[in-house]
Amino acid sequence: MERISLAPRPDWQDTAAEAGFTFHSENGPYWDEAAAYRFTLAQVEQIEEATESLESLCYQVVDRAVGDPAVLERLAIPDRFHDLVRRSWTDRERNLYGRFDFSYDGGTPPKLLEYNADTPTSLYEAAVFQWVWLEQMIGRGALPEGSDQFNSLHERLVEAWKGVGVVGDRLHFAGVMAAEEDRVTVAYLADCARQAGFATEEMDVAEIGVTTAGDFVDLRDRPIRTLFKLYPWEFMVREQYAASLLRRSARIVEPAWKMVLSNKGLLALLWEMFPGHPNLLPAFFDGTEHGLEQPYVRKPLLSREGANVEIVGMLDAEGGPYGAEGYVVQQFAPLPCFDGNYPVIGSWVVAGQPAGMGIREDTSPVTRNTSRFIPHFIQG
Amino acid sequence: MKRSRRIKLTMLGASAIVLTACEERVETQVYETVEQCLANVEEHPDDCRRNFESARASHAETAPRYTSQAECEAEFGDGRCEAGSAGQQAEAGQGGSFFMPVMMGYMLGNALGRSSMAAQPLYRPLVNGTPGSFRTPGNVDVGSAVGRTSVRPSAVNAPVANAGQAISRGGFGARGAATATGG
Repeated sequence: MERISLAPRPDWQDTAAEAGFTFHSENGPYWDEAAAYRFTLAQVEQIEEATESLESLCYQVVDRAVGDPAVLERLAIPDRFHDLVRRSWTDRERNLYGRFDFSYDGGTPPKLLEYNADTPTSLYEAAVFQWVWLEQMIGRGALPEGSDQFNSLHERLVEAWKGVGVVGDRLHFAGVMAAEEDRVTVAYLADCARQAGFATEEMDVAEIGVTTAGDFVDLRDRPIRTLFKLYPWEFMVREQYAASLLRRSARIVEPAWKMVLSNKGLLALLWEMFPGHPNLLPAFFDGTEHGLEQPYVRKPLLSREGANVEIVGMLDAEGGPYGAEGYVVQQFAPLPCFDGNYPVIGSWVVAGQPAGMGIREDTSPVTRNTSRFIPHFIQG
Repeated sequence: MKRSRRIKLTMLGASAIVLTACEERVETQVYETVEQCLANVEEHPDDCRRNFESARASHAETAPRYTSQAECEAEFGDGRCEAGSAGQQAEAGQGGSFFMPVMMGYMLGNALGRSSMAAQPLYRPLVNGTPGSFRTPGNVDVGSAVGRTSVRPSAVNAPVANAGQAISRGGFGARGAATATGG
């Protein structure tokens, strides 16, 4: 694993505009192709294997959680949704995708920092724009023929829609459409679904309506039978229409059981069930006798984009609105440093299978919303 | 190889990175009237009327709905909207009245041996003030051509009947409004 300086394609911003990549510079530079990470195939396979094995451990955690209300309680999942979580799992509602975030230095086993299992983003840039970058870099002779990339996201997403168990033949896609990154992610996943043969409808989550019976409808009052939502389950179960979710009249992607995995409590549950696993860091629910030495990381059970994360004994908490539901603590695993940059590997799963990789980089050891996306390639 | 063999995007304005063959299309037939259909279909003329009636029945169930005539006409043009019948409104459990565009054409179902195809009513929303291309109740563009044509596969999905009218909206989104919620 190596960080290599490269000349950006002079026309990459035009390519981005043509490809619908509208948020590459939204909060300062985001897409950054002045550098790229080079991996060997063996290194990529190390990441791939870690991803596959963690996904299987995660299913074991869900299996345990749905059979034990005390576990769901520890994850701050409201009581009246325990049955929904359980039934979504026992009815085998299939999931679409997720992203493991790893600390990885190219040699020692990748360590799981967290699992974005419910509403992961940075998907479009990993699946599409990074792929176009490699194709063009090879085509223009800036990278050697035969350079590869760990990235079959697009193909797998199209396939995954066919197997996810869409009810009805129209898929509704909802997200916070005012947020450009979310809008593009939703549009991209809808595009994949159309290529899988489904009719799609995109809407803002606030446009979802309910009928007198309590069923969800779209803006034209058509029933919503299958809903992809780029909107966190933990928000939905605490909002006005929460009770309608219990009717299960709409199949929701990701399924309700992802509430178990999109929660930082997952890290503590994984360590409890599989202590010493090479891809896991010691992690515990906060308030227990954890015995971790400083520095260690303290994360809210429900938190996004690094908000409210603190490195105890090293770095004060990032600001943010999270933390009311409790915290986990996790042993600090310093990110490797390449020329003053700290990369985090985002390793994707689609339909339960490892599917690709995207790298976010920051000059701070905490990856945030403003971290840059750096492309990668495989050589050797 | 560990990367996708090809990527295509059908939207996002992605003309530059369509790196593969054209999207698969489905053959079908589009007509504005039964007479037009009869003039073109030699083998099974009965299909023309049967498909028209089936599309007509589906129209009542699946047409886009608007709460006012003005709202509907803003999208489809003056005089191109009709009131939903009282019977439909009662059946759908709706309190208020609604308006929908008039049917501007229909797409044959069961064409060319695809048994899953249903006949569909078609509408023509305004584009720059004049009626644009035909659209299905699912808002899939099926082009402006009359007669044999090819359409996106999603156009041939059976149209979905409208449910009861929403009694409220906005029950989701409060916590994520105006901020990205992905991670």
